[in-house]
This record gives sequence, C-alpha cells and structure tokens, in this order.
Amino acid sequence: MKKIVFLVLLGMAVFFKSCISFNVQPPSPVQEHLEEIVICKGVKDVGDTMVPEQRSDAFSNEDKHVLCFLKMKDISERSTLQWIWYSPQRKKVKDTGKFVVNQDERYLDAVTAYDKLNLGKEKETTGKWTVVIFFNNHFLGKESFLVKSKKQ
Amino acid sequence: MNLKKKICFGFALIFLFDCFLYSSEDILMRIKGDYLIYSYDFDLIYGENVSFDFGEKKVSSLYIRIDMDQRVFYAYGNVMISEEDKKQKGDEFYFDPVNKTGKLLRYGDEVNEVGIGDKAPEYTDQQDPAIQVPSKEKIKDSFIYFTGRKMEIKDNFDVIGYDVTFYMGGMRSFSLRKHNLSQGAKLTFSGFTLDRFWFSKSEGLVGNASYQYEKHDKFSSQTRLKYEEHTLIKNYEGLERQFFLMSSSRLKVSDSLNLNLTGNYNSSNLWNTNFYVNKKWSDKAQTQLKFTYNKPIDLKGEAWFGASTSFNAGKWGSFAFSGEYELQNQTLARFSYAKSLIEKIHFSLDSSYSQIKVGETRDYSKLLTGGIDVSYNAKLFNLSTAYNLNYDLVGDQVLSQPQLRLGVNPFELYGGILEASFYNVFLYNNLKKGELSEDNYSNNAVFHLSTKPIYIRDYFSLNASASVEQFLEKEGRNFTSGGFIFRTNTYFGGGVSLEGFYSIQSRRRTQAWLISGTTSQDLSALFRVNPSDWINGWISASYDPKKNRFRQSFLDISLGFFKKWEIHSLVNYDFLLNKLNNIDLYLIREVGGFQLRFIYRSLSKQFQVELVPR
Repeated sequence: MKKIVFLVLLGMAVFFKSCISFNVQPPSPVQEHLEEIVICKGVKDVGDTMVPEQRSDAFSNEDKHVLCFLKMKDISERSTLQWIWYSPQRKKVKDTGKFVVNQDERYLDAVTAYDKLNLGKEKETTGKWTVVIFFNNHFLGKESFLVKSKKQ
Repeated sequence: MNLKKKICFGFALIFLFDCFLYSSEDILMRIKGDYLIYSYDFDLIYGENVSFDFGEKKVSSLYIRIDMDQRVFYAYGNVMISEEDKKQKGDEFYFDPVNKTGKLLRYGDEVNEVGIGDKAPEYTDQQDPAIQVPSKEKIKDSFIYFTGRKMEIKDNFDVIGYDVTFYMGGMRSFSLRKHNLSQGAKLTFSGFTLDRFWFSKSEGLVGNASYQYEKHDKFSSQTRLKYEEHTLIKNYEGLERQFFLMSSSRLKVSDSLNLNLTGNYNSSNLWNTNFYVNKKWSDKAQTQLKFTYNKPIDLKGEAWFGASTSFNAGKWGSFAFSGEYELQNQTLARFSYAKSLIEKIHFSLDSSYSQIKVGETRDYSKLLTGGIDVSYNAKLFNLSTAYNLNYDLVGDQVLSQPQLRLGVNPFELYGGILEASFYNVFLYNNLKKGELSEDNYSNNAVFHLSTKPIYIRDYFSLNASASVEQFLEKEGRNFTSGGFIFRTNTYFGGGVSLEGFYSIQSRRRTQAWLISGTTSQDLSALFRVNPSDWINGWISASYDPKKNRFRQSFLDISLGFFKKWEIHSLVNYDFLLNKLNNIDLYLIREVGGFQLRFIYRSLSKQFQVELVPR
C-alpha cells in the first residue's frame, strides 16, 4: 500500500510540476458591487428595488426615451454614481453629475438605479450610442445601443 | 534496476523535460495584481488592482479582463500608462501585447481616443471586451479555476501562474508554486500532459500521460506512458502493476529525407524498436531502409534489416520491391507490378517469398505466393479475372485459385425511382499435395433492387429494397435467399420523427430432392426526439410478427443541465428474457479541453471516473 501511495503522490507531483505548496494564502477579491447594467425601455417597482422591463439594445427614433438601469450589491459605504451619455458622434449629451448613494452608510444588500435619456430628432439620434457609468469617480462599465430610423 | 527504480527514473525524466517546456517560450506579458483569477473552462483571466508591462511602458488599472481564446485584452478603471516621466490617464485600454499597440479611451466632454503604438487593435461590437468578456462572478462559475497574485502569458499564449490556488467546482483545493494553468487545454503544443486518470473495479487505478515536443517542423516527438495499478482490485489474478512506454520521433533532414524512430516497452519485459529512413528521389521514386528489433516475452529477440523501393515508370507501369533479412536466417521478399491499359483495363501482378522460423525450433516454413489480376471497367458493367497461387515449398503443397467476377453497375429505372444492380462471382480452388489433387468450385449471384425515398406528403416518405442471392457449389450445399425491406419516415416537426421498418428474409437450402430453410421477420419502430440542443434521444422497439412477440427495446437519451453538466443514458430491455439487459449512465461535465465523466455500466457492474481530453 505504501508503494501505491508513493507512486500516486509522485505522479501527482510530476503533473503539477513538483511544486505543490501548502502555505499559499489565496488572495481575496475586492468586493465587486456591480451586478448588471441593462439598456431598457422601462422599469418596474418590486418592493424596495426595481427591475428592468423591455430590455433592448436597438431603438427606433420614434421611441421617446432610453433607460440605463443599474443593479449593485453589498454597498456599505457612502458612494457616488454618475451616468454620462454619448451620441453617435461621440459627444457628451447628458451628464447626471455625481449622485450620492447610501448617505447614511448603512449596509444595503441591493441597490437599483437608472437614468433616462430623452431621444431628440432623427438627425441627431440615429447611430450607435454609449452610456458610461462611474462609481466613486472611476469607470465602472458601459453599454451601447443602436437608434435606427423608422424608415430603415 | 527494480520496478520502483525504473518508475522513479521515468518520472524524473518527464520532470526534467517538463522544465524545458517552461524555458522554451518567451514571456509576452507579466501581470501582478491584488487578485487574479484564471478560468480553465473559459480560458479567461480577470484581475483587480493590476499592473503589467507593456513594452517599455508600465500600465496599471483597477481591473483587467483577458480572453485568451479570442486574444482580447482589456484593462479598465483608472488606467495609468507610464513611461519614464510621461504619464497618460484613461478609463479604458484595449491593447495587443504581441505588437505592443493599444487604444486608450477617456470619457470627458467627448470620447477621447489616444493611440498607443503604431496601430491600435480593432474590435467589432461582437468582440468588444467590455461586453463580451464575462465578469468575475461568471468566471467563478467555472468548474476549474485558479487564483493568485502573479501570472505570466507566454508568447504561445500559455498562462503560467505563481503561488496559485486551485479551485474545483468552487471548492478550494491545493496550491501550486508554479503551474502552467492552460496546460492540457491544447494537446498540440509541446509539453507534458496528463491525458487520463481513472479508477475502475476491473482495471484498477489507471493513468495515461504524454509528452510531446516539436521544433520548427524539423523534429517532432511524442512519448506516452500508461500505468496500471491492480493491487487495489480484490482477487485480481494478473500482474500487480504494469506500465507501457510508447515513443515515436521524427527528424526531417530535408524535404526528401526523414528519419523515424519508434519504441514500445512493457514492464513485463516485452519491447520493440523500429528505425526507418525514408528517401524520396523524385515524385516517381522513393526508398525506405529500416531496422526493427522485436523482443517477445521469454523468447529470443528478432533483428530485421530491410529495404523497399517503389518506382513509377509512367507508361511502362509501376514497380515495387522489398526485401528483409533477419539474423536468424529469416527472409521476406516481395515484388509487385501494376499498369493501366487504355484507362479501362487494369493489370497487376505480385509475388512474394518468405522463410520464417517455426516457433523456437530450427525448422523454417517456406512459402512462395503469386497473383495476377486483370479487370475491365465499362460504363454498364465490370469484369475481372484473377489467379492466385500459394506454394508451400516445405510441404510440397500448391493451392491454385482462379476466379471470375462479373458485375452490372447500378442503373436507374423509371426516371431514377428504382435502382438495380447485379454481380456474379465464380471461384475455383485446386489443392495439389504430391500425387493427391482436390478441387472444388462455387458460384454466387446477387441481384439488388431499391427505390429512392418517395415523398407521399412533405412530412411522410417511404422506400423499399429487395435482393435475391443464389449460391451454388460442387459439394451441393446450395442455397437461395431473398429479402425485402420496407421503411417509412414521418416527421412531426420540432425535431420529432417516427421511423418504421419492416423486413422479411428467407433462406432456402436445396440439396438433391431436399428443400429446407428459414424465414425471419422483423417489425421495428424508432421514435426520435431532438427539439433543442439540451435534449435529444430516441427509443426503439423491435417485434417479431412471425412469433407474435416483442424482441428488444433500446432507449438513448441525452439531457443538458446547468453549468455544462450533461446526463446521457443508454438502456436495453430484452423482451425474450423479460429483463433489463444493460443500463449505461453517463454524467458528463465539459471542462475546457476535457470531459469529466462519471460512468456506470450495469452489465459489468462497473463505475468509472474519467478525465478525458475532448
């Protein structure tokens, strides 16, 4: 039996390059708060939070608005959120500025929020749009969506 | 050297070679971070608070995502690119570490884009790493992943991790000081791979490992090791353990010359080795020289030297010669010639001589064989005649076998609905031994008729086929057989279909005044369900109308589950014995380049766990 254990251990050691280590402390990930960013046409209240409705990444210029919905988790510190919308010409068309989240610094297991962009005239809106979200002043994520002319 | 020492020596050699693997490729990128995770399933890296080299520049960012498979590299969040005193800030950085080019994006009053290097990488919307590369949470859904603080990407896109911790199914396992994280995902590059490792009640503990090495199309080598440990099996009567070592190497000296060496060894002291030199003189002529040594168990080894050459002389035909000699005075020689005449007539001739030892005695068998074949292929029919001769020089025994074959090529009737074919083979054997002479002959004729599928409705088709065979021979064991097969296929839509099958086969033996025979019938149905990627299966049942009873039923079903788990089952029910004959159950998990399989077979009462490359 000792021979078997010896051979199995030796084989495993070769496979794992003879470098099994027992004192490595695996790193802990920084708490990830972002759950999802969703482009949609509406939101619905469900108790203390919201859920997105009519998810889409393509809109017609007859749509009146586009929503960028955000879901985060495990927020326990005072934080800021900011939405910035860019046109197909890559110009900033809307900036929400920094919203303060969790002013009271309580533990929040889920946070939902959204910003709405009203679509203008066709000539200004058709093409690929981008919305960028900043969390505590750093880039958190982005989403793109297409606005098409009804005639297309 | 005892067995234990031999095994240790083998492992030590592999270990030594494995070290060469790490030093043979250059480092493309070194990443350090507070948290790095590599998914073996998805071949992805995700990192937090990272820094990495980018040519002469240093880059830091809050996050990084790398899709090794798609070669997509993306850093984002407080990106800082530093080179001496110059610093550039941005929000996103798409980069190509091979060409050291990138694109830095800043979100201000407009989207500001700064090119780094000559030409920034371009991604389509479908490739956009910000959208496509899964988040850390998704990566942690991997069956196998590693976490650590330092990783390197080699220029062959292998990922090497330092002080990494191995997770399987989300559970923390052991840690490794240095490990090739992507090892095993691709089996074509140089390196050591554990191909398969499993335990079963019948085989015991079994492991397969291989080492492959390639260098610039000049040299390639593959070595495989299989180890079996049988002491874990109760009442096992064979060897306690054994291992096999198989090796094959090829050296390409030039486009026209290559050398090959193969070797196989079994721990029960059975081994052989082969050495070949292949020389191509031109497109029409080539030569092979070879040396073979074969050592059977408890028998004297055999050393063979040989040469063979082939030559295409164009309109004069093709010639091939080969000769081999063994040190115990054994000989093999062969000659062949082939030529085509006016395209439709083909002529071939071959002859061979062998002088082989009979066991461990001093006796030799000496055989001379020869054959001539002439065939004619016309549009409607084909005709061929052949003559084979087998002359036992020691036993003074000659076997002659002339034969004649005539076939009518398949032809269509009624606008292609029906297809018919026919062939006839006549064989004659003559055996002469001293003064004795025996002969016999046989004739076999087969006619076949079939229809193409006929669509009665869009969803319903049928086809049928029939054949008749007449066999006659000198001994009088003549028979006539015939068969008819009828098939239907009904498609219900949504991947659901029903196939019906009826066959009747009859075989009548005629000998003088006696006619005897059998007739069998089979009625079967096969129901297929394949509505989506995650479920497909079929069930079949066969019925004997003659005896008015069911025969057998088979069920095959495959179901896909969450997280790439899949269950597959094959069931066989025997109505004659009124019992389940066999149940095979597979629980399969796709793990990157591997499949992890849990297998149960009721027939052999076997349970197996396998990790098998796909």
